[in-house]
Amino acid sequence: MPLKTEPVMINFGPQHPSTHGVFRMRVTFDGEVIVDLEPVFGYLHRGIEKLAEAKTYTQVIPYTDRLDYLASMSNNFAYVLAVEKLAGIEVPERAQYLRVIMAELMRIASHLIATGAFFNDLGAFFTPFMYMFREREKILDLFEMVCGQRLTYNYMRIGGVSHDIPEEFLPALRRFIDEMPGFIEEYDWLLAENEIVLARTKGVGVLPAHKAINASASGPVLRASGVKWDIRKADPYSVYDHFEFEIPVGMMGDTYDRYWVRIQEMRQSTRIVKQAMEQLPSGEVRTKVPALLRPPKGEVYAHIESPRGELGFYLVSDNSPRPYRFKVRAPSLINLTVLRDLCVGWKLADAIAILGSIDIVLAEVDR
Amino acid sequence: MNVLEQFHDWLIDYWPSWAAYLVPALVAFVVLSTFVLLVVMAFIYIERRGVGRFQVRLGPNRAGPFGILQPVADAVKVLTKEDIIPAAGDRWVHWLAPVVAFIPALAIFAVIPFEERAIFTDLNVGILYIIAISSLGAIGIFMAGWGSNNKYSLVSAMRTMAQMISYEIPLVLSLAGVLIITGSLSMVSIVEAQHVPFFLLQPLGFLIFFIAAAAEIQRSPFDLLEAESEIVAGYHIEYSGMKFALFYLAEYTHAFAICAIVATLFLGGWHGMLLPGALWFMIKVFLVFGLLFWVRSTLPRLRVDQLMGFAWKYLFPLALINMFITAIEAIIWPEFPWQLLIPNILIAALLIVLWSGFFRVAGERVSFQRYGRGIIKGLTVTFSHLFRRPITVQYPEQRLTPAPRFRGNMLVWDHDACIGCRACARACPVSIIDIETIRGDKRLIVEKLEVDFGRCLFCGLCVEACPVRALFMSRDYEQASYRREQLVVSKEQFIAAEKRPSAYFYPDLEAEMPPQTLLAPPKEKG
Amino acid sequence: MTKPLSPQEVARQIREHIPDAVTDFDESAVFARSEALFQVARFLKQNLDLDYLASITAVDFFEHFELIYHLTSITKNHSVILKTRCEKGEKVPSVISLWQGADFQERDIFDLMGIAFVGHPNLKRIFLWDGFKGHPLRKDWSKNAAQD
Repeated sequence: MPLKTEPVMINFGPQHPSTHGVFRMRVTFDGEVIVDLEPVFGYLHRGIEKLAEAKTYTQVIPYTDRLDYLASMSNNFAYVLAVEKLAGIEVPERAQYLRVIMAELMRIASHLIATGAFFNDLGAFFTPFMYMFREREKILDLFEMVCGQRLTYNYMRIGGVSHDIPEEFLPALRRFIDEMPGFIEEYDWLLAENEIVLARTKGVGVLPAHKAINASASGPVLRASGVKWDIRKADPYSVYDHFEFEIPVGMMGDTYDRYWVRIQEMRQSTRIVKQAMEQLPSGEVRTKVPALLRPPKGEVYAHIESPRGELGFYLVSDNSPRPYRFKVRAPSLINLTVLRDLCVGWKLADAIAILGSIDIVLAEVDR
Repeated sequence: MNVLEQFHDWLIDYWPSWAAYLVPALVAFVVLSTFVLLVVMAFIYIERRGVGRFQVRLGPNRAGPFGILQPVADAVKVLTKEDIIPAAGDRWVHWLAPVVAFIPALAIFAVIPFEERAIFTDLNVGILYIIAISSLGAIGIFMAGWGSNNKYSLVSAMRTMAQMISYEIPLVLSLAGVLIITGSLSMVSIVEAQHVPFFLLQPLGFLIFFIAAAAEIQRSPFDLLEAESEIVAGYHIEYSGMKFALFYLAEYTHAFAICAIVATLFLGGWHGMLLPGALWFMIKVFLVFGLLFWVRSTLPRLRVDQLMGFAWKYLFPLALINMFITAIEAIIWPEFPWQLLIPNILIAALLIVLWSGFFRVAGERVSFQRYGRGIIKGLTVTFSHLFRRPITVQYPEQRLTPAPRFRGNMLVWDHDACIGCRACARACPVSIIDIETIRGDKRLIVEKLEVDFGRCLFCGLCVEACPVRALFMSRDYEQASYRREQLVVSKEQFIAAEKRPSAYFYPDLEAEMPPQTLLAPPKEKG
Repeated sequence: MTKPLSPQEVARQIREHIPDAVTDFDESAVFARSEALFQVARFLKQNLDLDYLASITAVDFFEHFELIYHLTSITKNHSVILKTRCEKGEKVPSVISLWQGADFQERDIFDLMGIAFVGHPNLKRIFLWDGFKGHPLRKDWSKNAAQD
């Protein structure tokens, strides 16, 4: 006679060491196997879209910092690109190169946290986390040198960047770029062939390519499934078409591929930064733009490849100093669409690993 | 004739026989328990410092010189915490669980030979006693998981039983080789039989025993019972205060016991040159413990079904084969000359490589074909970090210098230069600047200026908007107050404050700023 | 570069297949009637290979809402912007069966703007809690009015 079992619902509540923020999952289990999963969020909703309608275009920039606070430069970048597209403002070339350098450094820093936190979820007891944070510290020191802050930079302005780089920046950046590939090798030695990591992540949470496209996944989640789509190559913005770099693409779309894609992207970012440093022209870093900018009536959608995926801003202007509508297309929110389908059928420990590999930031999900 | 029996023979001349029997036992129990607990405290300290050094940071170093009193601080904290009992749980089960978990771990020490005669009692079934007693701890964990009335605890309790039962068998079978060589179950005679340490004669047995023992004491990579990132402390999620401390102590006492057993069975116990035997024993124990926390800081944890697959499909058959091979060797070469260690090591390596090829984890695609090479690479990386300088900053004794352009807290306001134009108030995204002006004879005079730094974003837009260089960001980053109202800075406080402006937006000030402390500073030439 | 397809051309193609679905087009977007939205979207997905829904946005223009769909084709690397207008209180067909990525975005619009989508399997509030009254992103929403 078969044993009667009953599914049990466990709440991975908003406070949990592994949910990357105040994220809640209501998971129904049959033994250890997941039968259903419902993500619940909104614990960090601050109403940024509504707030931005009351601020001028320049005042919104510090708010965009706080959307995805682990990749503030990318948020700034996307927003100022949108406003410049709307108002038809030209950006000097030196500013464009500086923006690319900052965005790529930010990508490395963000992937370091994503990977470190991912291995924390797997149980590696902070060791990869600490090593990766050591490198991230160096990047944050560089950012502090340029704009004075370590997490929410407010560095990009409409029409350029706010400051030119100081003279000790380039030598420090060169030191960092020269030793970064060595550190990435070290992470590979520690983790990439580790049998336990392979056993926990290979084949777990496979996202087929057609499903990823249908669910509007973007960023490393999409590329790990084998879809070679990166906005830096597909729809280049700023000066990305001046650089030579590759798009790492995974083969299977499992958790291991998502981690692997991020490590490879870090390598490619170092390549881009190196080329940008060599090609950096001299000149101005900021176009003169009126303090109360009034873009002409119209709307614009600008998107960039942020570390988490396609970050887009949709702005509607009615020729007043304040945006009429400010909408954020948050990659973390849309990447979460696939969470339920990925986790059903796997076990409790896998749900945590899959969530860690999708790499969400709740501030972006909830806005 | 061990120390206790000597004591008994001396006492029996003075006291009645029951006293001469009881008193040595009590004295030895007190001494042994104290010693065990002291060593456990040392273990806790060493682990935290050691894991810290593997992670390129210092461990705790504030409580006492070099942090030596950290376990004492932990004990005091835990003793003074409120004892919370879940209202809907099973009260007696909940209360008894820590005791049932701790006592068996302590009871193992009755047969651990610290030296040839420094042993509580040399049972002639020493190993059997150890194995029997140590499996009782699992019941305590299960009681904790059940009595807490918490789904996380229950999941953890179920996992515990699965894990403990699975790993008992490889644990016992790997000992079989040692027992065949020794011919006796008594701990003292096992040590005496080791003319060459058994980890050389029984490499496979040593590895399997080490792995199975790590699983028995729920240490990483098998610590999914208290997998902090998944089930948030597992079976001891509802425990606080001294009961939690008992679980913690039970874990470390059991770890000490396992290290002691490994040192006895495989590393030669108290044998060693020059130093007294007990000291060699403790050195070996600490070495094994170092191995344990080295592995802990490097490896992620296994999933529960992979864990059980590993035990049943990999360790168990290997342990059986090891036992057979040892038995065959015992028949052919009963006195086990040291030359046997070479073929033994070769056979062990061969078996590991071959068996890894067969091993598939729970139906998924990965196989352990790499026979542990990836794990060894990881271990070398962690080990190399022991020799690097930790990056910990001893704040507040050691303060780093921020960058010249640092956007610190508390604006610096130049009262004489300000013309009262309110550009900063208009530029602020969060509208925290409150200015009121009155007309003076030549220009506007600022009468009231209030800035609420509790809501400041430190974005610097106010500094950029000021047309006359009256506003600067500051260099300080420490700001705290007990009341939110104190964070609102008024005009008088601005004028009276010590002005430490930063060079944000004013590059001419950068030259006189102290250089920023970098984590990767330029190397000095030469 | 992602080539934005000419709205005039796209409108012409849609009109050939679904006669009166397209109401207008301007230099960047094609406007469709809200009742025919699902058919137009399906046509775009199947015939023009627009397999990737980049974003759905809702804008409140006081007398009506405007919904903007940014569609991209990963295979062909071109894009189309599809817009539709709807009145307050009008329900719009959901495109979730075409693109699963519309799931959270439509719930977001329902939560903050109050536009209901017909055909969405789980149309609940996503950011605000279940008992919340009102739709904050609307232009006529005020915090005091919602306290009831």
